[in-house]
Amino acid sequence: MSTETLIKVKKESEPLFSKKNRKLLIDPIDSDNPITVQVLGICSALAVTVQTVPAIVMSVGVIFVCAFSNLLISMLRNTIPPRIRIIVQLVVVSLFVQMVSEVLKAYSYDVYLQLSVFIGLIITNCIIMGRLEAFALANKPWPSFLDGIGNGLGYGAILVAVAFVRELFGMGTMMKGTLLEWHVFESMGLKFQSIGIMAMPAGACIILGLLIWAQRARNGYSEAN
Amino acid sequence: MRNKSSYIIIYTVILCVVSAVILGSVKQVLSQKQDDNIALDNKKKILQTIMTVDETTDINTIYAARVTEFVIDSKGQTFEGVKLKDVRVSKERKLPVDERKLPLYMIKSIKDSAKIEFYVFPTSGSGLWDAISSYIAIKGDGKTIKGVAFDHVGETPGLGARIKSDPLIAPRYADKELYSDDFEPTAVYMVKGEGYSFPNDPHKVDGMSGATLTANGVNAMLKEYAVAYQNFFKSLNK
Repeated sequence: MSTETLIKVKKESEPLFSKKNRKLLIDPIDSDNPITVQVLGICSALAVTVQTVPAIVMSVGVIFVCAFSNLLISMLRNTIPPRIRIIVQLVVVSLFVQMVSEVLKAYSYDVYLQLSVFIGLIITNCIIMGRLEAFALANKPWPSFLDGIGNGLGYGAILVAVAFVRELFGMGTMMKGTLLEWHVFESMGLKFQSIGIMAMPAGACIILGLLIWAQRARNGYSEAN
Repeated sequence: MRNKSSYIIIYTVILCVVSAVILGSVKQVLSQKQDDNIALDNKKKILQTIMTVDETTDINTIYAARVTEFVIDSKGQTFEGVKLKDVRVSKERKLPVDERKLPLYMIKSIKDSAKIEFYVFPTSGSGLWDAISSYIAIKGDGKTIKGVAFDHVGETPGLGARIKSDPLIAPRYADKELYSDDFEPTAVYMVKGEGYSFPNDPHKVDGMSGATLTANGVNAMLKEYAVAYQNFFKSLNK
């Protein structure tokens, strides 16, 4: 009996991680990256990348918000009045953002203080609204959920990469503020001289530019295509 | 059907109510933990004005051992029947000075627990963009600053926000004097421009380049609270 239903389910629906769905998850990490290829969400990529730990927390926040608002909007997509769809998207995104903010305030107060303004600004993160508008409104919940996670991961990967370089050269540390905190230069017996620009958003702009250059050169991507 | 006004209105109302209920319950569940965090953060700020606080510092234990909380009025008398945790400094600021409830933390000496070593009080003011606040620790003589800890809501990162983020700013206030010799509130004054040092002027503090308007807010705040606590500190020296 149970095997029968199992076979039936398999026949009717696409497997959860079909090739198409895997593509939704993996593409945004590299070849369709929201930051380096679509050039969305630059503002927070410049602002919260001074240190690695806040960048990781921010990424987790965006992954959560992007995935679940994609899921919810996709579930509601046949009921949403087209004329107020942007407002509905905003309400849903704000709901999840506020939840992230409250949870951080309760369980990670230091990070909450450090990120408070930027957590609120997830609401206006172009990646999230962009995915809701471009994907979730026209696709089923599960692919939308994967698309949300994929784009969140793509965003996070760039954020952490930029933050890693900035923390290393701006403060001379890795993972500052955790048990893994490591003073890189001191531990190698070198005197650390901070590169001031790395501690400022301008430093992020440069690193991000280099990153986009490197990635596009490798993938052979150009705007004209 | 989805474009009918009635549908849109009902849809909006339901969406908002459901969201509000969800958020309300999340807040309700987490509020105790959030309040604990805020209380701990306040204790941390108070201790920061008199000592170095890092991750290993047991804030709650030190606070319980050394700090006694009071609420006073602008005449320097104890405000009867008021608990310190009910006083909101930013709200009190809207009242005239002589009606305000003024929190005061007395910090005992480690060696001699009968002796009060420092007095710490909170302040609240307006920066360039939003509210700023601080804790000021005064030494036993009633006018010399032991340390300060600033906080802000939305000052510009890298400029005004340095009052909190830059570890070099707060030490500039150490050993400056909040009052003149006869306890007139001269207040300490952060100058415009940066790179000065005033070893011989106990009332001037090196400024923050590019953040003069935030510094003005800080100056006004310190002056205002120097006036509010004037009678209390004056009475210490009688």
